[in-house]
Amino acid sequence: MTAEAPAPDRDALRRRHERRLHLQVPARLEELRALPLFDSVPERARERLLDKVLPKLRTARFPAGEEILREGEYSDTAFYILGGEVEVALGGYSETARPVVVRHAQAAPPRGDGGATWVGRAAPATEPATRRVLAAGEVFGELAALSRYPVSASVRARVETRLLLLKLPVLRLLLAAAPGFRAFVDQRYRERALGRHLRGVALFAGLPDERVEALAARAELRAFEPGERIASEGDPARELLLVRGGLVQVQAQAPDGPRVVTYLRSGDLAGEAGLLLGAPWPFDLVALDHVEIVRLSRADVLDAIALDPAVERRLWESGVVRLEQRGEALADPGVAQAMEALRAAGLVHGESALLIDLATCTRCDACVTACADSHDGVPRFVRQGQRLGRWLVPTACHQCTDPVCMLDCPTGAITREWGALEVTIAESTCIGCGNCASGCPWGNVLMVETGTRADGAPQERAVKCDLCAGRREGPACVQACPHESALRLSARDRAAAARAFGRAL
Amino acid sequence: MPRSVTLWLGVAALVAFVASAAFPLHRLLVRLPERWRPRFRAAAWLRAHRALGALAFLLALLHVRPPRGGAGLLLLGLLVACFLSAGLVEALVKRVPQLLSERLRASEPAARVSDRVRELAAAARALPLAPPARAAFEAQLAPRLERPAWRLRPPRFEDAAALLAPLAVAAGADDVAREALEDLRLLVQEKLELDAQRGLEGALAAARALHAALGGALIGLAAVHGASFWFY
Repeated sequence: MTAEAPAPDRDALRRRHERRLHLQVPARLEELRALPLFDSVPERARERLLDKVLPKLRTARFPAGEEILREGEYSDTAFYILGGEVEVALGGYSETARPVVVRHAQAAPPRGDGGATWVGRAAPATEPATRRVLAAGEVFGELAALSRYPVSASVRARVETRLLLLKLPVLRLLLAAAPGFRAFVDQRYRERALGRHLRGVALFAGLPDERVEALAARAELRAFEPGERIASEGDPARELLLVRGGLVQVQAQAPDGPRVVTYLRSGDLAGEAGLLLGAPWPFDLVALDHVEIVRLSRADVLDAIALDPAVERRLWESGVVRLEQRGEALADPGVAQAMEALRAAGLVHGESALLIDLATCTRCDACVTACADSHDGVPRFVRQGQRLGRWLVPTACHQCTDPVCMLDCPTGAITREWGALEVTIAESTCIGCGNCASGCPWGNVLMVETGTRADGAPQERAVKCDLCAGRREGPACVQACPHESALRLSARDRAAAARAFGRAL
Repeated sequence: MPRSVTLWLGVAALVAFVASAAFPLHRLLVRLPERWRPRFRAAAWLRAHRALGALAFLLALLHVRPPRGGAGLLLLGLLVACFLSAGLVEALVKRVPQLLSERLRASEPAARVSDRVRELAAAARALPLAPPARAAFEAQLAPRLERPAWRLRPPRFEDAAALLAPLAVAAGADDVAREALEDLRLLVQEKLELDAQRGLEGALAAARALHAALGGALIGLAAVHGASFWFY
């Protein structure tokens, strides 16, 4: 018989969150000026960058033993160590594991004083270390913040430690302005995550590890700002592009202007036709937000797939699908209009968004009642929201591909299981801080009162649609609708989106 | 038709009616533990409800003979009324959502309508109306604006304009007055739309309630009819 894990103490979690907020103070300009972090920013741009980031920067002093990051939780912050030391523990803290100080100066960005040390490489696979110590001048947490993957190691202060908190917007500004920092982060990503990322792409699933590693070593990492053009129709296509993060709009040029063909997101590929046929780009690729791209050269990909005809077949299949989509968008303006509507309503980010067909919905509220019945009497959505023609987009979680609500959760209560659609909030660890509710761009996280705290204040809890996780019949709202007005739509299912919106707007 | 056949047609009609009448249970069954919960969708259940209802009606018509006495007439009347009420519900289920989605811009969950109406009235009161217009507003419009009403027809542009006609004269002709009047027109329009939403949703709910009541009465009386035949 296994002992049941004790339930987390919600009050203790809330106190930890409040303590951590209390530890933070605004960063000082003089201190920032002296940091090697900004050394690789060109002289003229440095002051401008500092002016821009100063209001957003905080420093925090963590007492010895205080937990900074917990393995498995999501974080939107990278940490620069200003003073002290932190201990990084892979797979939890082990009192018997020997701490190993890993310092790789060769990966450090160019800087003037040479005083700080950077951890620039992953430990070799043979290294038995489960704990590492990072000291002043080093950075951690940046890959989790940028990739939106769960934090891969727990980190706590070894001695009293001062940290500079680099939230995602600051991190992006820094990456754009500091070539040295960019190179450092890219190098880390290449060494620690890119191979895993490539292996996760269906196209390369059958390739031997060494081929994937070779591709990863030669890949070029590029970042694009919102609105920036990644590829232009008619330009020579000499590469395969893998979207690492962000949202890309694919558009084809029609006589009356560009038409939206589809959207690409993390894990999607572009450039198959050019790669196989040597043809120019058949469409434009435009970044809709901060987009991170892995660029694989044509020669490298052809070399890698030479061994495996199945990869070539998959490339042909996905290339043909993309060209068919382009043909559809050019032939039928309704399809492009549907794609635009998806973006306007924020549905393009959704893996499974709830839609209600108002032309058949009798407003009986069976969906809301069924939702409440499946969730202890508290419905997880409101049958009210944006209208797209005859469709209602209710206030219900879209289960975003890249859920921003997870980022600012101080207790890691919001998670998405690997491979699952639903983003869930753990009732036992939600402290009701409301960060997720204010972070959701569509207001789809609801705060409900659950009782009274020990200090007499009302205890709130965040709730959101979890697709009735674990319910074998699927979401109760869809099952309970007697008129089949409620449906779930994935932005990836382009055909379903076109069916729903194509001729209905 | 031989008597035994009509008898069995009646039994089959009663069974079909009872099976059809189980439709409202789908809301309760959602609350059952997982292993007992039906896996099919409510929409499939509704299709079955319609099909069984129609079948039961046909079987009952084949079963029925020229009624002799009040109970037989009542049963036949209930059968026809129940069928007609089903037709009414079907017609409203098709028409009401269309009207709501195509002709109304405002849309609030039913529980929020009263609050929204109060908000509209408060917003209307806050508009900068000239004293004569305000007096006309308080006397003629405010009482109608504050109280949710039933309306079975989506409002047209002229409906709101007609309500505002007494104010239009009193409001004055300057830009501020015109702007305030236009804002008021939008508020009145939304209020009328909410009334229409309330009325149309109410009409559908009333038709459903009527159908359910007639169906319940029909099954009850049919059961008594069957039992009386069995025992006597």
